[in-house]
Amino acid sequence: MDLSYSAEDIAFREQARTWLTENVPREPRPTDQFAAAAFDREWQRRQYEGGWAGVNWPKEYGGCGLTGVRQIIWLEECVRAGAPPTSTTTFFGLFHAGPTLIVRGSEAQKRLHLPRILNGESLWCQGFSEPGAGSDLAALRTQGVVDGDHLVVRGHKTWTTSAPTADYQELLVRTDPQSKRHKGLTWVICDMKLPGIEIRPIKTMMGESEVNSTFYDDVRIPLSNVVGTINDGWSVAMSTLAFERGTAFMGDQISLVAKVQKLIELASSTRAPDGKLVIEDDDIAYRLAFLKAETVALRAMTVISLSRVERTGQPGPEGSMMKLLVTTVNKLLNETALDILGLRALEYGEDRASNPWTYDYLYSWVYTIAGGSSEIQREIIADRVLELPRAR
Amino acid sequence: MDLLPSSEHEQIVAATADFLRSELPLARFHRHDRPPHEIDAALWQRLADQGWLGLAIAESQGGVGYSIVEEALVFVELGRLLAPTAVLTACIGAKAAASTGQLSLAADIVSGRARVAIGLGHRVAPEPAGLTGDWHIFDAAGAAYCLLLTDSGVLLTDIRGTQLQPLPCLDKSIALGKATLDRADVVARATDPSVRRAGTLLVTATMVGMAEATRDMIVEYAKVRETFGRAIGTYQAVRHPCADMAVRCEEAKAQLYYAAVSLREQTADVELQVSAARVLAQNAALKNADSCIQLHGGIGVTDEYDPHLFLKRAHVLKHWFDPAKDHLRRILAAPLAAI
Repeated sequence: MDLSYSAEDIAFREQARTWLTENVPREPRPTDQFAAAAFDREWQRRQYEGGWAGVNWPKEYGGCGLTGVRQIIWLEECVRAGAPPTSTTTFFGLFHAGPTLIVRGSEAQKRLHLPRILNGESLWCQGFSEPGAGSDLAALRTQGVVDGDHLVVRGHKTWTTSAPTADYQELLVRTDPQSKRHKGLTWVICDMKLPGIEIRPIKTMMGESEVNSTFYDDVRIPLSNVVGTINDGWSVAMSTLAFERGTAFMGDQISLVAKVQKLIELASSTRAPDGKLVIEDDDIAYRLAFLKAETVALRAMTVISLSRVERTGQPGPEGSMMKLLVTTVNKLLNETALDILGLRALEYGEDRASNPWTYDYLYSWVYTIAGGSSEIQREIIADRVLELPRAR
Repeated sequence: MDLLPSSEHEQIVAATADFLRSELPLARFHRHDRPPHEIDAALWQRLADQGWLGLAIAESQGGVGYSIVEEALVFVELGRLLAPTAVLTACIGAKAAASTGQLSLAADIVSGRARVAIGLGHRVAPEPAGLTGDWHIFDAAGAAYCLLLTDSGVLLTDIRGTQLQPLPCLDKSIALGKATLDRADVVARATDPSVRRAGTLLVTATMVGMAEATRDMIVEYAKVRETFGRAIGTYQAVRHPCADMAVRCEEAKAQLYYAAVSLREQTADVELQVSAARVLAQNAALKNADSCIQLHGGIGVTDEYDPHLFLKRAHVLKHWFDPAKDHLRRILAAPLAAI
C-alpha cells in the first residue's frame, strides 16, 4: 500500500500542467448549443494536436494510452487549470462509441471513425433509450430490417443528448422481430444527416433542450455500419456500458473535490439575512464538512479502482457503487449550494448562465437517472457485489 | 501508487480472522456464566501473545514492528468480531509511552502485564490547570493506566490508587466506571500528534470492520429468510438498503486505507485524511447497524441476535478520540493537499 508518485509521474504532471496553462481556452463555453458544439470541437482539436486527446485510449488508436495514476493526474491538472470538462457533445464519442469501436469495430470502422473522434471532427450521440425502454433497455422496439446491403430503420428513440450537433449516433435496434429481450438486437453506426431522421427537442426542467426525441422513418443505413454482427448488438452495447461505469465518472469524481472547496468559499463570503456569514451556521458547516469527507473518499475509491485495474486488467464491480455515490454526493452538494445562496438561488432564468448553482442543482437528477438510475445501480450491486437472490 | 493490500497484508488479515473465529466468536456475548466485560488473565495473555497490544511498536521494544497500515488492517478484523476494546487502548497507551521514551512502561503494556483504560467526559485544560471533575473511565476493569486526550496529544495517568465507582455500560462487554483523577498521576505526555491520530485511525478501522460485519450478517440472512414464499433478498425493499450498506463500507474502507498510508508517510494532508475516514466510518457503523436491525425484522430487536451488539459498540466508540463534530471542524478547516 503506497501513495507515492514515481519520478516519471511527477514529470508527467509538470508536462500536463505546462501544456494546459498554455492551451486552456480563455473564453467561457457559449450557451447556444451550436456555438457550444463548435467550441467543444475546437478544444478537442487543440488537445489532439497537442497529443492529449483520448487520454485513456490505447496508443495504437491514437490515444495517449495513459494508465492508472496518470489518468488521475491528467484529470486533476485539468480541474486545476480550469479546462472545459468533458461535455455532452464529446462524451459519447470519447467514452462510449470510440471505446466500443476499439473493442468490437471492424478495421475499416476504426480507421474511419477513431481519428475523427479524437480530433473533434466527429461528434457522437447515443440512440439506446426509447419511450418504452429506459431502465429496461432490452424492451426496445425500434426496428431494423435488412434490405439488400442496407438496414432500414423505423422507430423512435428518446433522451438523445446533443442530437442536433452530432455527426454520428450509436444506435441500438431490433433486427429480429420474433426475438425477445436482449436477443435479436443490432448495434449500428448511424449518420445523423441521413434522410428520414427527425429530431424534436425536449424541454427539460432546467429550461433548456439538451435532450431530444429522434424519429426514424425508413432510414437506410449501409450494412457495413453494423458493429459486431446482426442480432449480437446486446453484447456490443454492454461493452460500452461496462466502460461507462468503470472509468467515465472519474472526471466527475475528481472535479467534486474542487466543487466542495468552492462551496466552502461561497459559504464563507455569503451573508445570511441575520448578517452572519453562512458558514457560521453549524448545520451548513457540518454538511459541507461531511461532503468534503465524501469527496476525499471518492478520490481514495478512484485510486483503489485504478489499483485493481493495474493488478487484474479490469475494473471490479465497484463501478456501480462509484456511480451511485458520485451522483448522490453531487446532488447533496448542489442542495447545500441552494441553502447557502438563500433567496439568490431563486433568481433563475431558465439557462445556466443566469445562475449556475441553481442550474447544477436541477441538473443533479440528470446524473442520478442517466446512464442507469440510482435504483438500477442498487440492483446491480445487490446482484453482482452482494450476490443476493433475484426475483426475475 | 497502489492502495490495495498486498499478499502479505492479506495473510496478516487471514491469520487475525482465524484466531478471532476460534478464540473470540460472537457467541461469547450470549454466555451467561460470567460478566461479559470480564477479560480473564489467560485470554488477555493470549491476545498479548498474538502481538496485538503492540502491533506498531518496534520489535526492539517488544512489539511486532508493523506500521500503522498493518495495524489498521488487523483492527478492521477486530471490529468485525467486536474484540475487546481494551486492545485498542493498550495499543495507544503503548505508543504514548514509547513516544515519550518510557520503554519499560511500553513493554509492560505490550506484554499484557499492565492494562490501559480511556477516560472521557472533559477536555483536559492546558497545564497547569489539571484534571477537574468526574471522568467516565472505559475498560476500567483491572486497568493500571488511563488514556486522556488533550487538544494535541495523549496523556497516560496511573489509576492504580484511584477509587472507581462502577457504572453499567450500554455495551455490556465494556467495564465502565466513574472517577476523579489527579494530575500528579500523569506518567506520560505524548505530544506527538501521530499518537492521537493513531487512536483516531484505530477507532476508524474498528468501525469499518463493524460496518462490514452488519452488512454481511443481513446479506446472509436475506438469502435464507423467506416471506410471501420467497427469500427476502429478492425484494427491492431489502436489496436497496443492502446496496447502500455496501456502498458505505466501500467508501469508508477506501478512505481508511488512504488515511492509514497518509499517517504512515506523515503527509501534509494527514489530518484531513484521518478525520475524513473517521466520520465516514462512524456513519457506516451506525447506519449499517440500524439497517441490519431493521431488515432482520422482529428478531433484530432480540438480545439473542447480534445486530444490537454492533449498534451499542458504535455508540460507545463514537465518543472515543473525539466526537464527529470535532473531526468535521478539522475537515472544514483543512486545506486540500497541494497537488
